Amino acid sequence: MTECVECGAEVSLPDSLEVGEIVDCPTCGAELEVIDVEPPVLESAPELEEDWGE
Amino acid sequence: MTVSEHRTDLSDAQRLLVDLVSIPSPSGEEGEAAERLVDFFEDHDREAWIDDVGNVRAPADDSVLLTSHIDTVPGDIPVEIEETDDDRLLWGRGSVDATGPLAAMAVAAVETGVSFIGVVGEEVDSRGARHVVDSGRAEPGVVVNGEPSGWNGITLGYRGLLAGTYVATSESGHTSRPENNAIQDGMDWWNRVESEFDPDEYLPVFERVTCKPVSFQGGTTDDGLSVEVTMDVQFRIPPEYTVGDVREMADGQLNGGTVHWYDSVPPVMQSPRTNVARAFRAAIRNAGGDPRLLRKTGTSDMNIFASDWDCPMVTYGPGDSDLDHAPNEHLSLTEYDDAVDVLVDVCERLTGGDE
Repeated sequence: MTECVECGAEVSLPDSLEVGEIVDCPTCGAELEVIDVEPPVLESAPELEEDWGE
Repeated sequence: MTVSEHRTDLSDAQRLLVDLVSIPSPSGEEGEAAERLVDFFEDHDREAWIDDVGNVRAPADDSVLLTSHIDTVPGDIPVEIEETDDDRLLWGRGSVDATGPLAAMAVAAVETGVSFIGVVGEEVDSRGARHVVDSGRAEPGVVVNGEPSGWNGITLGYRGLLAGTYVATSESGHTSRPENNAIQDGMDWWNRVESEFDPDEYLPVFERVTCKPVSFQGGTTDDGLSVEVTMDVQFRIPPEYTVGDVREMADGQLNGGTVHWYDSVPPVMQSPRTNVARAFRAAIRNAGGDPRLLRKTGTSDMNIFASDWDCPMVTYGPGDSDLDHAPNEHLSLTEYDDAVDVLVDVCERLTGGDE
């Protein structure tokens, strides 16, 4: 269990957590990225940006 | 400073990049660069060969396939290394699009033992990538396609492409007559098509259908009996539409004249939650970067792979895509080295090589 960095609500995490995984905050719906697993550290997941070309 | 003056200072990975940028490889003339790639793999005890269309194939652990294009657009940019206060910049055609990603992937492939394909013809008709999927090759575990995304970015989506040629003919007549001639029919069709796809100004470009005429010819025929018009057009297609949807909408606006549709590439949009996207975010953070997720308004070989394969895929490579096809194309060697490190880390995470 850890806190959502957006709204502060508690977020339960699966046992098989992996670095880089994205989880959803059940309260505010924010997408959160797992930065570390021992102990679990969450940050807001990067948003999709638009770019030109190939 | 010339490349030869720097040569002894360069790492093995940087020498491969400099050599490949120094060999002109516009579409259709990729042979010498392909040979350099084959030599690089053989020097590292990896089997590699050039296939029927000119692609470089280096199969190995197929849980990861690294693939980038060998060809560049035309343009003679003198190859040199510029010293800056804290970096070295490699100038030359293709340094960004996409020889930087190509060389970085070749280096990561020999270091981690994963599969590699250098493809031809991406800048023209993607014939190399089409040959890979049409040749019956087994689907890999994941695909990492090479294009510049910046060392800390991954590209998850590209719009698709539909291209066609509109042709109309009318009887010639005095220009004072009020009836439309073929040129007016063609212009009217195009105006209706643009109105059909007129976007809300707040809609992101990636989510729009972009309509673009790319050539227009018209006038009275040599025998004086007809007026003809020929117009080449392209549509960039967001994932909300299929190629068939756009073709049907454009055909539905015809009122005289016909369109020969000669090229189509479906759009692609990958999830950021796949194993390969996750591995890239972790590797980029591990290297001290903040990961960026991109969707691009153009089209790449990832569209071709995604139209035939269901495996997860992303596009990645060092370089600023604002320099794609530009006269000032250049690549930071520091960014190139960082991209190699990220690719090696990603391959190790996906193959279990770091355990």
